[in-house]
Amino acid sequence: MPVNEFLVLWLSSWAAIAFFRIAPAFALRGRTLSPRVTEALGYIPPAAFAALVANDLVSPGAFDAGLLPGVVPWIAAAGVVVVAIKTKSMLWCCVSGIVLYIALSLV
Amino acid sequence: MVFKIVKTVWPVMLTYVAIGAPCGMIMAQTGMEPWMVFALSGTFVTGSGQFMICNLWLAGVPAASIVASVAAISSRFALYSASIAPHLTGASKRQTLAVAATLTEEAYGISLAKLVEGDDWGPRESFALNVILIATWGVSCTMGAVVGAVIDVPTAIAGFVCTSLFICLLFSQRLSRGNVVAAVLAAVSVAICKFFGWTNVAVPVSVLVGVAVALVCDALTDGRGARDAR
Repeated sequence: MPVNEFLVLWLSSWAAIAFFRIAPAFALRGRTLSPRVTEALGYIPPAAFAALVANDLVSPGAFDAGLLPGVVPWIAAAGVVVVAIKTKSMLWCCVSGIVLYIALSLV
Repeated sequence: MVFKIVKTVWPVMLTYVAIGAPCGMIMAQTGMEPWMVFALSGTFVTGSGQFMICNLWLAGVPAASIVASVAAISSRFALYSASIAPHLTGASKRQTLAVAATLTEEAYGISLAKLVEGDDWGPRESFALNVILIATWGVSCTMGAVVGAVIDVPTAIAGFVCTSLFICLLFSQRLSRGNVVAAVLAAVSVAICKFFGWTNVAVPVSVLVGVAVALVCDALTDGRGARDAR
């Protein structure tokens, strides 16, 4: 990749990402928020993490290679959910996720 | 302080190594030199954005379209930033800038939980956590770009580590009716967005959908409660 094109891509994208990261924090900083806004902000974490999980698991072409390869991530994710509920541990969730994913991929 | 944070966050660091290395390998395939990989990884700190740049670049998409796509997929950071802002009330402008500018998904989840708990955790700890994770991510991506030809880590397995992490963070949330509604609707909305091919905006749009529906449910329940009281 030529340096000039890389710099254009990098700096332009970084400016956009930095804006999204910084602007809301400063816009809301030090303000007394209404109960409704506080409530809305409180719903962001569950909605965001559920959306990220769904974004990783849902793929329109997932079953193109057959049923089993398509359901492997879902079954592994179900196993991780059980571990998450039982342990609340990031480490055990990651370990169980890898083990389940690899084991199911070998079936 | 650094030791305390590393003790908390080392599983995430391992995850970053596992995902960063293959991400760096893919970035190297676009012709990026190691310094480019480090500069981009250390500032973006978003695997999805970095994978997207590589895919679109290799597909010959114009730079303006690539930037617009990365901006769209990164708009979710605005929601994280807005969500963490009320917990930075005691922070100076410089501390707020430092924490917000270095926010990542995993760091956001951990920082938010710690800030809510309030025990021995403030903006300094949040910033240190962000820097540790950014450094881990940047170095992992760069190492992946350098040694990509020697070590082959399957991207699907590395990616699933991140999914497992998000599942853990999701199920660490309080189990209330509003949270369940927000989570379920956000997940359903992602599926619908992806079905229609709106992959770039699926996450931020779905978060807004989940939050909006949860608020509507609350308003309806409040209204019913008020009518019952009358």
